[in-house]
Amino acid sequence: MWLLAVRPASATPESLAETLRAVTGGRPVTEGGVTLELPRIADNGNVVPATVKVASAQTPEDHVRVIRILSEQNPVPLVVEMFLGPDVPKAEVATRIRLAKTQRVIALAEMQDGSFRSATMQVEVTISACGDD
Amino acid sequence: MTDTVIRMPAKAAPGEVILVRAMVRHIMESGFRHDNVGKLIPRHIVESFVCTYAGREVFRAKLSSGVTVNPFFQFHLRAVETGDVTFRWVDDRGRVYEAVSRLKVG
Repeated sequence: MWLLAVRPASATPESLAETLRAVTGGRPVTEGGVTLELPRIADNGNVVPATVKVASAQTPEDHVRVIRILSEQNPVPLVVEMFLGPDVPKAEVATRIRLAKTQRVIALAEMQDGSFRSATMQVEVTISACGDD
Repeated sequence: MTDTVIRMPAKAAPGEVILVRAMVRHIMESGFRHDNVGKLIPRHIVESFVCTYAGREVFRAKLSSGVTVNPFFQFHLRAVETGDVTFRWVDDRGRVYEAVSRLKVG
């Protein structure tokens, strides 16, 4: 029975695609209008600073509702979801994430009108996070 | 209070955009690591973070095990009125961490 508790060691591009579909409800995602700032080489995958900026006027009619960071190779593809209030003046957030291995990271912005924009970045990870090493 | 670190100005001009940085000290045990006898170390992470300003929610986050130890978030607010900026984190064992910063506007 204990086998049931064992979780997959890492996500795959397929589970990333699945998570993307679940989050967007299958709506199209436009590449662009989002800047994802990550180190090209992360010496320590346990602490990777990430900044996401979205080109948005941040008006009541046109603003970013959610900024998500998704991972291709982490055990959990949806790393973090950040919800912005309607009067947040700047669509720019920063956090620190873990990266299990070298992979593509996606920043996904959900706009007020329900549309999605994204940016993708490849990060080279020297020391892996999440594992036992 | 020592479990939380908030960096933001205490005063701002009306309409000014201010930077808010918030961190909570937390182990963020991913639930994917094993101890030295091969036993899985149980997951223990902060799952949610909410920031309000003058009673209105301005920023909220849902965290996974992919957020680092001592989760950190940085975002912006527009100073509109004097009021409390509150910060609240909840972990997967129901522990709540809270902080309040007063923002004086004018």
